Amino acid sequence: MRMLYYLIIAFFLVSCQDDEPTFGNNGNSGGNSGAGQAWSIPIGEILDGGVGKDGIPSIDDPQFSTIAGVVSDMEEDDLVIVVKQGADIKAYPHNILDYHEIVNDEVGEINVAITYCPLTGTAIGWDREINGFTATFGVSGFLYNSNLIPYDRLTQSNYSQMLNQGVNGPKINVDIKTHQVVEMSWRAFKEIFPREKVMTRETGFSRPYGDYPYLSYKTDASTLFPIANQDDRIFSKDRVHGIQVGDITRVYEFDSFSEGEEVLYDEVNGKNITVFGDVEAAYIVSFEQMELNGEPLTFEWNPAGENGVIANDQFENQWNMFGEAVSGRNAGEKMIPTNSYMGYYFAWVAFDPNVEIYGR
Amino acid sequence: MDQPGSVVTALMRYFLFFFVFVLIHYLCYGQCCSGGVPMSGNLGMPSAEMGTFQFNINYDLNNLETLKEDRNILETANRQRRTHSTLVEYSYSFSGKWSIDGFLSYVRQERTIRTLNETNHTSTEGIGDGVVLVKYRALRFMSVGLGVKAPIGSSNQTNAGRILTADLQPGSGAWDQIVWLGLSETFKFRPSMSWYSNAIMRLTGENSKYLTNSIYEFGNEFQLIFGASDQLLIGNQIFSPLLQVRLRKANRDHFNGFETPSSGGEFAFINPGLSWLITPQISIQMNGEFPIYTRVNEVQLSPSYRLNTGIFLKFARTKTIDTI
Repeated sequence: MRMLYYLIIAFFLVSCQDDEPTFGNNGNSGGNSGAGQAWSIPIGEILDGGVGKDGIPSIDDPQFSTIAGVVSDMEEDDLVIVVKQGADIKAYPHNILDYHEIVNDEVGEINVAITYCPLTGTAIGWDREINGFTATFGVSGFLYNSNLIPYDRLTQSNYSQMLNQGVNGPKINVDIKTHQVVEMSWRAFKEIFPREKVMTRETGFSRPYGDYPYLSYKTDASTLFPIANQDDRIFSKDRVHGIQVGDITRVYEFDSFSEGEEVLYDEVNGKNITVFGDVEAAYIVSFEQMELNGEPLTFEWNPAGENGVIANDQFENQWNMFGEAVSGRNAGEKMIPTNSYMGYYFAWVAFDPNVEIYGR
Repeated sequence: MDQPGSVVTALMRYFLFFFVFVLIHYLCYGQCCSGGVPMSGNLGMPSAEMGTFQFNINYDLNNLETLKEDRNILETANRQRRTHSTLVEYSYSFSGKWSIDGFLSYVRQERTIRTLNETNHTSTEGIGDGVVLVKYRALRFMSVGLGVKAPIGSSNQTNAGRILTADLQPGSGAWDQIVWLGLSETFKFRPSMSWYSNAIMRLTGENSKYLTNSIYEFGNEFQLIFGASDQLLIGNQIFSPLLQVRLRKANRDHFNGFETPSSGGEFAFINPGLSWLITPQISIQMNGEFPIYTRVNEVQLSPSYRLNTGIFLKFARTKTIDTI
């Protein structure tokens, strides 16, 4: 019975321990929870996505292959994110980024982070040079309007992907320089860039690449987290091209483009814009309207197939989808990409309830 | 003291040491202990005579660190989710037929992410949901029960001001309905040995205040437990080893009416355990649970092991014949 006595005494001693309440990010050696720090976005609308900081691991040493070396279970309609810097062209498949969301890479001479949020369907190329240091971005695990919040590993600052801006930490309110990316179908990429590089599944992680991890999310009306604003002018998951000029955002649907109507000229907040869309290849790109020889450029849709050529101007120059004149007497000229990217319609509305829709 | 007696004493000391060590370790340092808001798996106290109170105080650790896709292991070391719970289970028998069971819980949820450079740890803790189950002994070897899980636990805890997702909350924020069936019988060839089986169905309700103004519903859950236990006299002490298998199927969760990816799955566990019947009224037990089959939807952390230890107390208002 003596042992029983000790047992009961021990039990009640232990039970009376006053456990210190330990809510929050206990023992977080990496900082970045933002606790006690200012945020430039409403803190009540920032959510913990559940997986935690780096619970979705970024790819920091991407490997590339030619198209022939890429696993063959890519569907023709799968999307890839294409970046061009100089002569260097790289493609990053969505079905890998669904599991990683960020690739820290170099394209040409530029340090670029490909940031992709599968919940808002937004892919944006971020310049990794921020005020004198080369950032390596990771996934913070936080979401704002269901959209990715990357952090940089050096300063532990948090950034909003769709705002392209630091929102917390030492880099709060610092704008991120972006680089144009073009999202297109795998089929189109193979046809247009048959000799270019594609990121492979040798990521250093074991993931079921090719199995979409979000069920019917792409095609149903669900969001996995609350968002600030919604409307039903367009189906929430339609991929649209959003252009931001000042405080005006205008989105362009694929329905605005058709055979013979692949080039649109528009004015957004006083700025003339040229928009190119290819429904088959599943991409839309846009540029500030350019003048040559004292005339604003007008285009004739003329996809040449390889090298990304999509149009001829009135001076017989050939232009590619990255806004570069690749042949003609003005070869070497480059149009300025708009501040734009593709995303699900609901995401644009979540960030700006007054978003305009082209043609409506 | 003779040799067998020394062995028994040593065995009891180790048992006692392990029990207290585990208890202190789990309770004070919160590093392990209890299992995934272990609601329905812990339901169903033994049937008892009229006027009998039974208490079971448990500490339960559910450790998830095996990242799986379907049945395939993807990673085993980078992420960890732990739920450790302190459970006070109670039962009172109004008659030989009717009894009421239930439990209260205190839950600590932990999430740890390990990378090359750092370890990130997030935790919440608080009172968990409570369960009340009314049981009726329909046959000598069969009882049935109906109950509810009441959302008395916190379901809006935050991390640095941000509300955490449902699986990191101590409570679910929803009323659930519970249907329970228990079977047990001793073996004729060995009266000290018995088998038992429990079936538990949890029909989940909605948390309509999830992340302030959204609706979250955990998936319905069905469990089947099969087990057998024996009583062994070693020296002058009674020990009761048990071995059980638990089958669990959880449907997908729903957010605002849509299925939530990476939720739900099918699981089978094997669970060896040992009780020490100190007196007819007091016993202590410990057991471990290990997955033998796991199939998750999409990619999820899946259970790696579960540990449970507790003390069982029984008080009779009237003198009863104890059967242990």
